[in-house]
Amino acid sequence: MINSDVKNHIQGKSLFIDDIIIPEGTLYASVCVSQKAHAKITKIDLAEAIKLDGVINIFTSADIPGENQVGGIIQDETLLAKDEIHFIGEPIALVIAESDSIAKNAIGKILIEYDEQEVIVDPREAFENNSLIMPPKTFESGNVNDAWKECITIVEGKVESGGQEHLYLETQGAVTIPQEGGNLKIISSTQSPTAVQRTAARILNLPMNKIEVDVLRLGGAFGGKEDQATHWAVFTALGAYLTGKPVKLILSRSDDLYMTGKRHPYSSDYKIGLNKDLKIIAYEATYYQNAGAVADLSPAILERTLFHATNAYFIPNVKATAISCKTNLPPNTAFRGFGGPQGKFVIESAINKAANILDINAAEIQKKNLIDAGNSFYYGQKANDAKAIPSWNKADEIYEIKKLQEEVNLFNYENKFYKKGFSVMPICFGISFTNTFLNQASALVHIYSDGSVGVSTAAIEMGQGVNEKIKIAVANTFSINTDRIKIESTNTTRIANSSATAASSGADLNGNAAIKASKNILNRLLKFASKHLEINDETKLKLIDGIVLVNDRKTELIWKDLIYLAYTNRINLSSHEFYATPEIYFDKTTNKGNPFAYHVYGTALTCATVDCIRGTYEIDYVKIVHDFGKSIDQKIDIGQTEGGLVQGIGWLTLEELKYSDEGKLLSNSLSTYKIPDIYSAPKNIEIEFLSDSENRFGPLKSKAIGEPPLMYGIGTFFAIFNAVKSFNPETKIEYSAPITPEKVLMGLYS
Amino acid sequence: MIEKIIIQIPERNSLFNFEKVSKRTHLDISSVNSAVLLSVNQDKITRARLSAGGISPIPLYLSKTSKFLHDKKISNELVLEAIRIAKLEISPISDIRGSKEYKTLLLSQLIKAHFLELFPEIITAEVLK
Repeated sequence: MINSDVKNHIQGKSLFIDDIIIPEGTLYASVCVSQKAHAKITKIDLAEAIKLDGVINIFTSADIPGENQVGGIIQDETLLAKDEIHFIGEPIALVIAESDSIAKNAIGKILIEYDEQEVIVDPREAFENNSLIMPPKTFESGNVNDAWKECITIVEGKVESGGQEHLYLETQGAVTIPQEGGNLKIISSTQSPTAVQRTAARILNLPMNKIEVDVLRLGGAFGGKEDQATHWAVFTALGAYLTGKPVKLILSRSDDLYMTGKRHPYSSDYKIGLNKDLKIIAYEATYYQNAGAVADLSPAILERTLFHATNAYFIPNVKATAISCKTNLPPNTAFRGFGGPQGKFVIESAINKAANILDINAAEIQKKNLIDAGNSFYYGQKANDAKAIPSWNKADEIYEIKKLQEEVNLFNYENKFYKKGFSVMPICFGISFTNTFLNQASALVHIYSDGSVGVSTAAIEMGQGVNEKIKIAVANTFSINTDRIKIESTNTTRIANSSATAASSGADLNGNAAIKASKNILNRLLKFASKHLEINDETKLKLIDGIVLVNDRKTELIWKDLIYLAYTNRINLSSHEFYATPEIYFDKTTNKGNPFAYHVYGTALTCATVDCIRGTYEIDYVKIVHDFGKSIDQKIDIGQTEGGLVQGIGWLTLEELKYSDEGKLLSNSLSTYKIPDIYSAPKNIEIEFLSDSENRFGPLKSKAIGEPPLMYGIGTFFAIFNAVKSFNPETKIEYSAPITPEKVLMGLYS
Repeated sequence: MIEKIIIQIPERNSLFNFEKVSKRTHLDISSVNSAVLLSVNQDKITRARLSAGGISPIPLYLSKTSKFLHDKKISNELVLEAIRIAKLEISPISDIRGSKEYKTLLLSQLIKAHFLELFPEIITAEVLK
């Protein structure tokens, strides 16, 4: 089945924020932001700017009617800075003007004087200065200190991973339209409508019921609109509230690049110990997370790094400490994987280094330590239904790991100017928000009297196909064609108190809620049909392919007639239902529990070819076995896998965020920040579904797909790394991502 | 304003090679690039023109290196000596497209690449050492 959104996308007919027809007289907002990374504001002079023709008003923190606070997890972030600024791009004043260009011109006329303070951009330096978002957090199991004695190979090292720009196609933006009675309607490009509603209410000192947030779809988000869409939406709400007019704000690409946060760069230390059988006995890691200037989602991201410190391996003694370091960069935020990829990259680096010291393939260590059913993750959760070994074995069976390795060895023996590298990357990713309370969703299903169906949930469609999956889940429950079903916009008036569409959980939580709501109506319909057909026992009735069956034999009663009859017989054709993931809990005092409903597993085999004259590289193939559960829609899931993989490859190879010591983003345009194009994607991607996997927590037994495949991209780092090593066994190349052509060339000749 | 670009028709026995390395292979500005035009008589260079971009404020014609290559017999040693001279002609800076050290190494690699591409029978892998 083709995702029904796709047709409109390719014809340019899908609507995004900037396409929405706005009322006449809509005003435009632009935000004046700090040009210094750390300073006290000594003067804000608006006089020249406000004189500009077409400028309606300029607002500062003093104009905020409610509380000047947008912090979610920690209350440490103002909407508009008052006395001090902490990063380049921090909002100071809000200009409202008759046009977007006038608003932007006015920004240039605002005079701000600063008393500059010391700037820190490096997380380790922040740590040394005790500049932290919150106290360090440690998860542990067993006793690493005792366990080193049992190890015959102990390896220590340092690992760096860079940030990553989300580069959603649609930049941040929103429109707020005032309604009667002082109510506001915000149309926002957010993953988190409730966060927008709650924050706008707080800023404006209004109850949440006066604010309606509506989201049709996003032109991509990748986590960048989980927390950081809120600010821009709230700016339009503030402008609309204070002027009484509709207000629109769309960030330009260059503003979006330097004003918003990215994936967190990490600098980490590790120590890994193996016994003579290559079993990892102990693992210790310290992660210095570059959080940027305020907390944003950093504490939750930090926690997920800890949860994924051991990737797909069982290690009896683990101690992992994560430190959220406060620097003068824009607040780094959610990005597909949410700290998980950073954690995995460290242990994979540790294993790679241990393998190099032992002069064996990393795969030998990896395979020996895969987590098996009966093992526990080091945070206490039992690895029920572990699929690490089955997915590795299936990859070996269909792709032949040994043969692929031998091909690479032979190529390297025969070639002087090009070297190939091979890697295996197993993944294991926990599904559920690690903050247990967020694992809730609701759905509202209506069947209209003509038999058409409208479904509202909290899920945000952002190109990942969640709407199509929910549509299939509802169609499957009623046994009707998907053509009859419309997935409505996501709206806080229809669906209240929603969690963000994040943590790969959108289809799981909302799909399950939609199925529950559909089942309620279905049961009413079958009960009514049994009465109508004068069958005493309603269990004899089924609805299959839009036809009522009695004892598995078709009747004359078809969907459309059934619905109309039910309607005229006053049967409730609507249902609102609620779903909360069962069996999950986590004790934040002991850092033990069962935080995830389940895990997603898979294995990727990667081969890269390095041009040893020029330091450039190509990715020959990535061959994957992935545990999709029972896929709701294979095309969507393959698309997510390929997209995640290539995005992961970008993070580890080309995408290099650079900041100056003054905290200025240097890779501030698409000419200097390069994401993978079709040529830098693997020449060949093969994806095999792990068979016999069914997931009791997923709608229609499926598994979540959004984030896990990104981490296959880590394999590309090691494929390139191993190729460099093959050319220059003495290379000084470091475990530092992204592994750019610069690092490769320097590594080939170091 | 550019009024004219005069491009001489290459002589007989001319060999040309162009090298470009950027972070992303396609649709990206090069970190360093280089072009070479050589007139060759058997295994001897009779005339050489070598240029490079990304290693100075403007794309540079490496005149000293070009001159050095005149009337020289092609060999690994010649390439290495040409690189030594080229390094004296360039003034790369560290910026978003790479560090000074990288750009210097990359130019020397691209000069090696010119000769490896044009004279695969004469230039050996030893030149990379």
